[in-house]
Amino acid sequence: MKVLAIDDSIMVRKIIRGAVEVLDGNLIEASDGIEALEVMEEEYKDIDLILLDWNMPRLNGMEVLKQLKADRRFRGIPVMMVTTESERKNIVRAIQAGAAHYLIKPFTIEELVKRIMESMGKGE
Amino acid sequence: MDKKFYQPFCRSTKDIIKEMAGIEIEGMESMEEEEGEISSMGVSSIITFAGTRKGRLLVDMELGLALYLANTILGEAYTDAMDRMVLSTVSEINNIVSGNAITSLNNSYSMDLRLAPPVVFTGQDMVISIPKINSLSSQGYTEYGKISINVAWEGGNK
Amino acid sequence: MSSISIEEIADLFANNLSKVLRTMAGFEVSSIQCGQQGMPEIEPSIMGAMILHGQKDAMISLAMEDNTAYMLIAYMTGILPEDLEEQDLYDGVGELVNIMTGEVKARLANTPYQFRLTSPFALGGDNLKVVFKKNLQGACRFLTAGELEIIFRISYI
Repeated sequence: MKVLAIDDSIMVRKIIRGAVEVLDGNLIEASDGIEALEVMEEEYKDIDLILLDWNMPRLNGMEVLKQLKADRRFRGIPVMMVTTESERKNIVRAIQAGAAHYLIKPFTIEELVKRIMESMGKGE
Repeated sequence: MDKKFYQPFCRSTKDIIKEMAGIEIEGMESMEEEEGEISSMGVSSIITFAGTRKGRLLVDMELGLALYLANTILGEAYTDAMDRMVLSTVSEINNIVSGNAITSLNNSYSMDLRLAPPVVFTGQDMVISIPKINSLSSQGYTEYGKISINVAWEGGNK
Repeated sequence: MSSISIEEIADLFANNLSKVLRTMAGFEVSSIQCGQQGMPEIEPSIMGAMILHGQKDAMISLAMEDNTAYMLIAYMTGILPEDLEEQDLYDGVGELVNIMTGEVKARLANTPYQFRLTSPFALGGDNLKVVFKKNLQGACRFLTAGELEIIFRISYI
């Protein structure tokens, strides 16, 4: 299992790494949307799940999500938003734009592991 | 984001300081990408603005320059750069510099930007870290001390 | 919606911070108003902050000593404090402010108190001092969990 974590916070990426390692998976990290799209160009064939923050420099999560879903090479990879954005309208926007799952910070590591497993099982 | 959204802050800093305190800032011609933490030279002031985009300006200067600016602008003889009035002067300069720059941006690009009031920080060997945002910095020199500005715009359309 | 005082807004943030620390680090945090008897003197050396744009602009901050920041980030990430770098602390306290703010923003959405976030930032150093204009309305909470001590402040600017 290979997971791409896109989050500008080093701390959050470390927490995600811990959860992915619990599941014996591999993590690739990107610290903003632009970097994430560059990573996708190189690695998309191996990526099983994308965890995506919303508020990031250069290119925010919603823009990244739209670009991922507009590209036929990437659109089949499930995306879980992992964000502090908890307003209902934003959750709806993300789901409508193609996010498969939505996890609001704060979360426990157990919850994160469970949601990663669900996302992997369900796919898109 | 295009450099045209950063340059007005350099221009405004030089113009406002010259206008208010009569001193020239040398340098501050170009802006370089800033990565990681910024080590403060003494006094820092941050101001945020929001409209069709969100951004912020950080003005940082040496204590000697802060004192000179306060004494010149207020016509007093402060000797302690930590005096509230000195710090308030730095804050007000940031406010005027930013106001001037965003007026120019609003007029040129209809950005509908609005300023929040500035906040001033001081501390010994202070380090400022703005992890969630990319920024450009520019440094200038005066005979009373160094000054630098750091401008950041948040990416994407929120 | 009836009016909300700045003290009530401070409680919203402090309660949410408690929830964040309980969920992500397993700490049970208690909160009191600053200045109450028994509140120890602490000298914060790291501060995470954010400016909020709303009908009234405000600044919120979390200030703590380095040891507290190391402990919090270590518990949140599962990484030993000695393996954390200074950059991890700045990032961590900034992100803590961000996470604390998310739910409060959602709670106050569509009310006169709604606000827009800006990027969080962190300050490190000794004798950290924040200067606002005089006579501004503000509120402060002192949060503790064992030896961990955090000062939360909100000030209209």
